[in-house]
Amino acid sequence: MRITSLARCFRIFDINRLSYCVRYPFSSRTKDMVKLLKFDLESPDPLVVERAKQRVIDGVERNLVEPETQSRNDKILIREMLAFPLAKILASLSGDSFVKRRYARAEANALRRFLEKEPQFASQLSADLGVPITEGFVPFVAYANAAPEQYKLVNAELDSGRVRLRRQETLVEFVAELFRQRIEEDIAKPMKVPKRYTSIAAEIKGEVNRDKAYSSVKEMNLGPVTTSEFPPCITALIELAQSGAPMAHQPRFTLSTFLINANMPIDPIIEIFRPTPNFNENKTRYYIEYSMGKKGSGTKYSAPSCEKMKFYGTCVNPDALCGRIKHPLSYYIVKMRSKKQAGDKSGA
Amino acid sequence: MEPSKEYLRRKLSEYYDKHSVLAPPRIDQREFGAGSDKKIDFRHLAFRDENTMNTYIRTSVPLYISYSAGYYEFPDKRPMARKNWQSADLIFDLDADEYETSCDHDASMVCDICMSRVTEEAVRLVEDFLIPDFGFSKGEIISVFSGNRGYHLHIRREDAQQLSQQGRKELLDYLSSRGLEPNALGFRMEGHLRGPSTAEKGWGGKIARHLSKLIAGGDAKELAKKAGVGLPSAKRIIANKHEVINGLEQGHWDKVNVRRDSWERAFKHVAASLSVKVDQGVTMDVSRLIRLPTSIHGGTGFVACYIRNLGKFDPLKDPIVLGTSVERVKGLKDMDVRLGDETIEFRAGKEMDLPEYAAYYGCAKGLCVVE
Ligand code: SF4
Ligand SMILES: [Zn+2]
Repeated sequence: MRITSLARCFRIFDINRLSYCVRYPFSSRTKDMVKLLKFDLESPDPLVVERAKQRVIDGVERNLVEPETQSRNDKILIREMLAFPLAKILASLSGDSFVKRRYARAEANALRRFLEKEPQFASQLSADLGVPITEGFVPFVAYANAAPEQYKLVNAELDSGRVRLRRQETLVEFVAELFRQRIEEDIAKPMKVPKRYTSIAAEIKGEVNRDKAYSSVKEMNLGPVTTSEFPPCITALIELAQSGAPMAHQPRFTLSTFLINANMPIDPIIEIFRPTPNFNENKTRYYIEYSMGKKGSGTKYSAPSCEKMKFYGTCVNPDALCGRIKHPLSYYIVKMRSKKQAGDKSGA
Repeated sequence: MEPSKEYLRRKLSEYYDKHSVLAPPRIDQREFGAGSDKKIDFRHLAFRDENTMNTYIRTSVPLYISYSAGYYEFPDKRPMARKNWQSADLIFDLDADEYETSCDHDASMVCDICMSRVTEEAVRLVEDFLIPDFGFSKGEIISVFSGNRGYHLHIRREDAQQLSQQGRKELLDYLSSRGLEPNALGFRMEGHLRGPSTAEKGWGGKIARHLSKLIAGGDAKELAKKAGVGLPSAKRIIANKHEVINGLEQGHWDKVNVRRDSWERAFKHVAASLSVKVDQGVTMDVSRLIRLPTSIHGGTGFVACYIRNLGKFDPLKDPIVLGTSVERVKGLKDMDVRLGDETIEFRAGKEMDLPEYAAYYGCAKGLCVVE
């Protein structure tokens, strides 16, 4: 294989360096390395192509690209590294704005997760993306163009045309948003590449399961989640959200933590909140990911118990089953279990 | 009797025969619009240079002429997508009818009260925000009279031209303090209540400094009103004003017994009073057409002139450029209008002799007709 032989003869592909390049596939270090490898679009390694395709599909369907960074095998790491530029090409060729947008967001999410663990690289990566950070300051134009929803310019320390990034989380969010925009820009441009990729991109477009990704709640395939088995309190909260009424923090928190713990995927949860006033998709996504423990402190929040629900006044219309359980989630589990048993019996 | 519109166009034609309109920078990348019935009857116009632009103006004599804040590769192509947008100047538009004032004339008119209100707002935008926070220099902020009842600030610095729509929205939110969060600005409990200090940059410091100034004033009623806190709290603050002011200098917000939510309320209240109001659409829309500086606003006869010193600009005198030869007019409405150094008293049915610029203004505003 061409890649391995190159790797062997140069002996420059230190595993840790390679892993860095996989984590930060847009860094200047990675670009240098990709150049050195002289990746040939005319006769690509089929495994790289396969991986690139999967990367786009995972990104769109699961909002997750999960690059392989743990491997100690340079062949695997190099393949992963090369899959990124190719994945961008495929996303672009798909010509599908839904695929493009979702893919870009998934890549940015992956970047955020890595940077949260090693924020020391954020500054350098920002420079690699074209926005140098001098002594913790960013020019306000760059900041305003990529201001993360939760760190608006209005709340920033703006002075003489520069924004001071005092907190590491702000810097990480900023770089992730910068990266997301960069990918969106890159894949918006028309690309001149060999024909074969156009057909692979068309395959992606066909294979992507949009239901898994999103659409409206009703059209949603929730997999194992069945809304009809939800306890009365949760049904009432869903109806409240759907009616477009404003929701206070507590009911919002109750509903989202319940749905998360019932294993509802993130996109349908967002759809449930869509009719609420001042709905903001990014904010809602952030909030849910935060409650899932994907953001911030990393703690996954549990849904409130019946006792707490009664205290907050969110326990409404309790029925017979409610008398036997102490937690809305137990209500759901009991219902699902008896439904399954009923199904098994009738099937037998 | 000559119909008013023909009179207006004849006057503008005489003016444009003697005066040239200045080309905006990079004229060949701008889209132009012109109109006489509406503000814009035609758009997608483009001119190679200042000469061709002036030739167009002299031959078609539009009452209104505007140009794009945006730069395009092909400014005359249509639809918009084919123009290939490149970047756009940053524009702020302030209009007198956006602000609450005590004047009672109808919306098409202006007076000294509402004009000084909009001038004051424009000055605050420049001095309190664009210079200190955004770091633009005085020379980079180009102030232009809109020709009627407001101002356009044009910023053509290269980095500002690169602001995306989202970026422009962030700027607008900064100016209006929309989305301001006390927590994000550092309000927190750390044994005691901490918050932004007076030395802080951005909104945190702005608010702390303003509060500290209000407190130093020593008037509890005034403080209660301007900071939106209850009178008992305000009295407690004033009674301990030196400690409180010292505290604010260090970012300690609990030198007196005032609850955190009261402070947060004061914080938002002060922010609202310090923010500035500009037209959101004009700044956001990177393909907007704006009055061409140094052209005449057909609805007033005033020139949309460049302004050297905003604070000293007299919008009812300085932009007068039409002549002073006398015209006989007949009033249609009762209205007093100050123009230059005199007040013109239009009276329905009354004939009078007016200098050309006043006759034009009266005709354009429907206050009189030319005999
Ligand atoms: S008892 Fe629990 S499950 Fe039943 S309605 Fe109340 S909170 Fe909901
Ligand atoms: Zn007025």
